[in-house]
Amino acid sequence: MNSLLEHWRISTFRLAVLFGFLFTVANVLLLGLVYWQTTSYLERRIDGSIVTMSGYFKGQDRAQTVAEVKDAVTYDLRKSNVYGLFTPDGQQIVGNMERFPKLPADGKIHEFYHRTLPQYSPGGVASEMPVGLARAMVRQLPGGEILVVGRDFTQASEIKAIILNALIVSGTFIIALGLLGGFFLSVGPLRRINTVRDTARRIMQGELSQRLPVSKRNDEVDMLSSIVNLMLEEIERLLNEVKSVTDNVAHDLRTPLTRLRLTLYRVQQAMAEPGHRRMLDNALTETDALLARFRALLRISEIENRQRRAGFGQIDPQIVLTPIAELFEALAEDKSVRFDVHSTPAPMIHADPGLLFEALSNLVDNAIKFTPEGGQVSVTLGQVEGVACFDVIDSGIGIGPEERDAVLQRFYRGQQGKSDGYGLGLSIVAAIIHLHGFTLTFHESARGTHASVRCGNPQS
Amino acid sequence: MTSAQIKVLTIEDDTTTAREIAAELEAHGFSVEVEGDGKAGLEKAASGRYDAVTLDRMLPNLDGLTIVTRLRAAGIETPVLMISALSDVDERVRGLRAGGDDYLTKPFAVDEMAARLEVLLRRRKAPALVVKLQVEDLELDLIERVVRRNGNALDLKTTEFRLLEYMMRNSGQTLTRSMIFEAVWNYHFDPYTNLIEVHMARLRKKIDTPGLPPLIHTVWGTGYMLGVKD
Repeated sequence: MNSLLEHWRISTFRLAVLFGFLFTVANVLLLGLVYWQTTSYLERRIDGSIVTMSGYFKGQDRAQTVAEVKDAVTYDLRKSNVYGLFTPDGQQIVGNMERFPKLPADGKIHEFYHRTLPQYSPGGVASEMPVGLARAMVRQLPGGEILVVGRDFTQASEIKAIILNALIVSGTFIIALGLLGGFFLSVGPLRRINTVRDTARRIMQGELSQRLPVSKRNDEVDMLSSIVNLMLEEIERLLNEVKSVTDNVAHDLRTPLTRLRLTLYRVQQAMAEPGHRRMLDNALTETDALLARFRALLRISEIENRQRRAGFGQIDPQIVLTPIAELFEALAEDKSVRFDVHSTPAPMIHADPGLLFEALSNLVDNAIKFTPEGGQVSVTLGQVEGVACFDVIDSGIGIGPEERDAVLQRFYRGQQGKSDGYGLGLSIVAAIIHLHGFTLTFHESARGTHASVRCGNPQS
Repeated sequence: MTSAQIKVLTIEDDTTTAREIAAELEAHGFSVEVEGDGKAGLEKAASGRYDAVTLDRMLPNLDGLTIVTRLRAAGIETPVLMISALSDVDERVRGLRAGGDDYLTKPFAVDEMAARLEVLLRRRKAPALVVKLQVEDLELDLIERVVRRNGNALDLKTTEFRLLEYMMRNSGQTLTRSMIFEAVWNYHFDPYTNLIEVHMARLRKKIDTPGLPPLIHTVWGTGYMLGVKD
């Protein structure tokens, strides 16, 4: 069903179906015309002979009519004619009809079902004629008797049925062929679109050197792909330029920052006067904060630029949770915050344990930091829809819905909370989660913050 | 040992950084020789005249990674502290795999650098297999996993035990927060807020009970030290 829907989106398929439909309509019209022409021709011919036959009986008296009908029945060797002379109450005086047809005696031609009497059937007395279709004219004679003159119409109606059948069968075939043709015609383009989609996904995941495939046909899809490829090349070039500028700036800043810290430290060591010493202590603290921020920034771009390689493997998520419990239990206790860690069996994950630990400890650190004394922080590991999932829930000040995206930006610090964070922690978390292809969500929560890390690719 | 005998070779092409490294190490009582060129640095380090080497990762003529690889290939086991502007985790792994003993990322604090170098020098001298560590009246039995202070057994959690073991193995040395975080928890990123302080405070409460001379000391602005303060 899904794949049919997917095919429907392809223009080739829609075109093929449209042509199939038009072809079917044309076919129905053509065969309909043939049907109509043929049947009206057959009816005209038979009706013509009925009129001629019935003309013989005009102006004859009763005895003549009886004799004529008897002769006609006897000499009608092909048994294709229908004759009957009936009394006004429907008793057959002479003729080959099994019973009186319930038709109006209006001198017009009607179609009806009848059966020829056995004694007139070709095989002999005992054999029965099948019920057949006939067309006949019914007339009341001046003496009150009713005369039926007609012709068997079975063969003609069979021809009609054959034509109608051909119409239905061929129509069905044409529709089926149209659909099938459309389906196969759209397989090619669909496969190409799927390749483009997969490539685009890889590019979005950071494989900027990937290009869309271009075939030798140089058709419209290839033209589009070529344009996109040119764009990608330009984007890659610009990104590399930006990256090298950033790297250069970072590198250029590293040395003077190192020198600044070194010099300050040496002056502080040499300074004996307590007032100056204190000022230098403050300057050193500020420099250290600067260095920490700088390192965090470099760390983010380092994680963002990283490919998934060294350090990644199939791990049990529990090995990340255990040290978290060990490391942060003391911090929570120090702040008089209740801290529990729970885990239920969870599937293996593909991750770099060091980086994942860094991300989680950042979340837990934040949770403890923003939870007031007497509050609670809980960390759980479980599985959601077959994927391992870490939840960090606190009873702290929480993140407003409008802030949920902003907290992942660099240097963002919540307005409500006053803390010594550098506003970079969650950016590091976001970068790590992105590198893994996991998802980080801040849920609606009545109180406090509820962060979830789902350790699975949303696409798979 | 007398510190004056300890010779350190600093291979660093940035003169200011080299000067400050030298000044700090000299303040710790080491004699320092500075070399700005990679090739010349390798030749000097290969002479075996030095007790330790600080090695910049990127140098003119020959890069730090090659220098340490060649040193180790030549069978020279002088402790090497690599100092790099490349902070990538993979870079760190590469540096350590090539034979570096420790890895420090620029921009760094010079006291951190000195602390790390001292630990490296100490590690080389320490016998590899010890079953019991002792600092004054503090004993740590690695086999029975028992800690005693002044003869009384102390109840330590696993983390606290590991932390104390690391500090006792390096007693008398200044240990920075990142060194502790790396050695005890084996993670290589900036520890947050006051994580290490909190763990240290807990350990301190159990070790330095009132009435006994304190053994864990805060080295202001740098880290911690276990031992008797002079």
